[in-house]
Amino acid sequence: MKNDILRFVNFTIKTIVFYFLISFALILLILPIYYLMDMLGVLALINNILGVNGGIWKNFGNLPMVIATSVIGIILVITVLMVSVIVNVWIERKLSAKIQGRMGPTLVNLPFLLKAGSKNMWLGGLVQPIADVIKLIQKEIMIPQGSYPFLYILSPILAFTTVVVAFGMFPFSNNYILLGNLDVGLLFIFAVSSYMVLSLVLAAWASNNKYSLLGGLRTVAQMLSYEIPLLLSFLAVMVFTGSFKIVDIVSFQNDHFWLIFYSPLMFVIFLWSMVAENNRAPFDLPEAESELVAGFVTEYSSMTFALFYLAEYGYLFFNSAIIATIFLGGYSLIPHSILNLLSPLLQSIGIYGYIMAINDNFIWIILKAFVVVGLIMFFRWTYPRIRIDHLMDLAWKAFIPITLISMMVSAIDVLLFNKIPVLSWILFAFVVYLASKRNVKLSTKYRNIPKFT
Amino acid sequence: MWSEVLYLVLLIGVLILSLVAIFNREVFNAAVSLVFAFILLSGIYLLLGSEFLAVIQLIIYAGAIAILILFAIMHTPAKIESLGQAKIFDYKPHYLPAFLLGIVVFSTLLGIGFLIIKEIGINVNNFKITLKDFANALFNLKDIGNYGGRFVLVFELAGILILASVIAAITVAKKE
Repeated sequence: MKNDILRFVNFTIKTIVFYFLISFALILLILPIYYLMDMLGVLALINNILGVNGGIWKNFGNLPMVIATSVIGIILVITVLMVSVIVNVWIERKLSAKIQGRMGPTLVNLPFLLKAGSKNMWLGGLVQPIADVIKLIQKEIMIPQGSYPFLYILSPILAFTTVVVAFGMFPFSNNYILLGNLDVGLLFIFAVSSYMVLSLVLAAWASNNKYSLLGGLRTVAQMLSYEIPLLLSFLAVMVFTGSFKIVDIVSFQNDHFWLIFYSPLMFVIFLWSMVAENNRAPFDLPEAESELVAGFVTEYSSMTFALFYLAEYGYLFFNSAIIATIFLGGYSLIPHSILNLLSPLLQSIGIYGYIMAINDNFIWIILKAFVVVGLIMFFRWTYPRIRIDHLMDLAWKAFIPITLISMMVSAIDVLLFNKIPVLSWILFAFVVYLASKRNVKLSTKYRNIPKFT
Repeated sequence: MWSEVLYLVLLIGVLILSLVAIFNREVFNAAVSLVFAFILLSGIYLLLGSEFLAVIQLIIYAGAIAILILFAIMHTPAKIESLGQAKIFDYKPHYLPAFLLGIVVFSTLLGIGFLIIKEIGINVNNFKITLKDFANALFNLKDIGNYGGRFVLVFELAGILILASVIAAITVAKKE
């Protein structure tokens, strides 16, 4: 027993350290590109025309210029997306291998980093995702007989487009938003990302395949039900900030504190709803490999399949960035209120200036997003898939009532307690108590399950 | 000038997609074109400067209602033979009053549209109104001078249109 615990702790610490090292390496990779763009003035150009004060639709007088800059913006977005997807795929392969006690991809290496063919457990197979992409491009696009060709081709394109648009609206820093800053920014992002359902339904129907259709039906049921707790939990948090604008939400967290400490319950529900929206395990019923061959992507091959894959991993990173923005302080490392409290101490050491210089930077949002990505990957490889009726029960019987109550509770916090989350924490404690009681009940009920030997 | 071009393009797109939604024999394709008509409509709202309405259009109409329609269609058989065999126009005596009533409603809507265009011209900036102005124009009958109650008639006619479509849906769906 003691040995087991020691092994578990050792393993957990090792994987977490491994994960952080990868994240930092990624940032070091992106930084030169970013500063090159900044030096060439591309970022400033995009910013001036589309940037913080406008949004595309407020500058229609100068349409050709708007089109030119938005093309640059979209290319930039796709670059960021591709890099994040490639890195995420590699990280997921290595992480799952570590969790399952395997080695993962080891053979396809960068020649200057490792000798080709050397089986390194930590950095091996860095080029594996690129090899995968080349393999997928080489294959043939199959359009099955009896399918609806137009919808069949349209749906993967639609899936990828929604990710690009959602990425474009996302602020990586307080003055770099690629495709414009709306007053209802976060709502628009949720609206756009809900079109993933449409593309999956089109794919399921157009394939004209039983497995695809079953996957599509599950997709609609799951994603439509989880959209409700997602938006409601988000609203319960927005009662504190009073704005849908992402820049305002981050500045509220700078003035006070991170929103995860305002309503921790909503953080949990938002995270799980995001995982369910993203169709990842333990909620991967639409493409459950052991039940439906591959769900809605059964008939897809080559780049049409790769676009779905890109969209899925793009959303994985993007949703994590959204969670990091809403709950974990966004693009600033330490809230300014804490920095102001600590300023005499920091000034006496002499590092106050340095910290202020690097405190508001896009690096922190990427780092926080990668931490959340790691969390979601841990969910995927350590939890079993849950049943479809349990899934529906979780959304309609647990998440929606709790979020509705929590909206009222946070409104009372704002009105009576001057934005100090007293009742929110009481509700959190109550729900945790209820859940633990139910867990004990379940574990006693199923204690005497016969073991399969 | 560019915004007018975009406005017209969006309008024509909505018109074509709605016509496809009405006349297409494949039920699923009709529903899909309805979804895209909703999306283009939200683009028009965005162009007229009401971002919130556009986002709500995207979430509620195109994101939820249209997807539910698709969900319902996915439970039906993929190809319904009787739909392919049905005649496009099969005259019956009670079609004549319905046709005349339709012409009355349609021409009234068209006439109001022409009146509005004659008054303010085709310029998107003139159409840009806030949500408050919008509510005034629809529901405020007290000051009919400025914006108040200007579009009440259009609103009521839209109500009649919805009623007609509900009755039509019941007629189509009932057992023969």
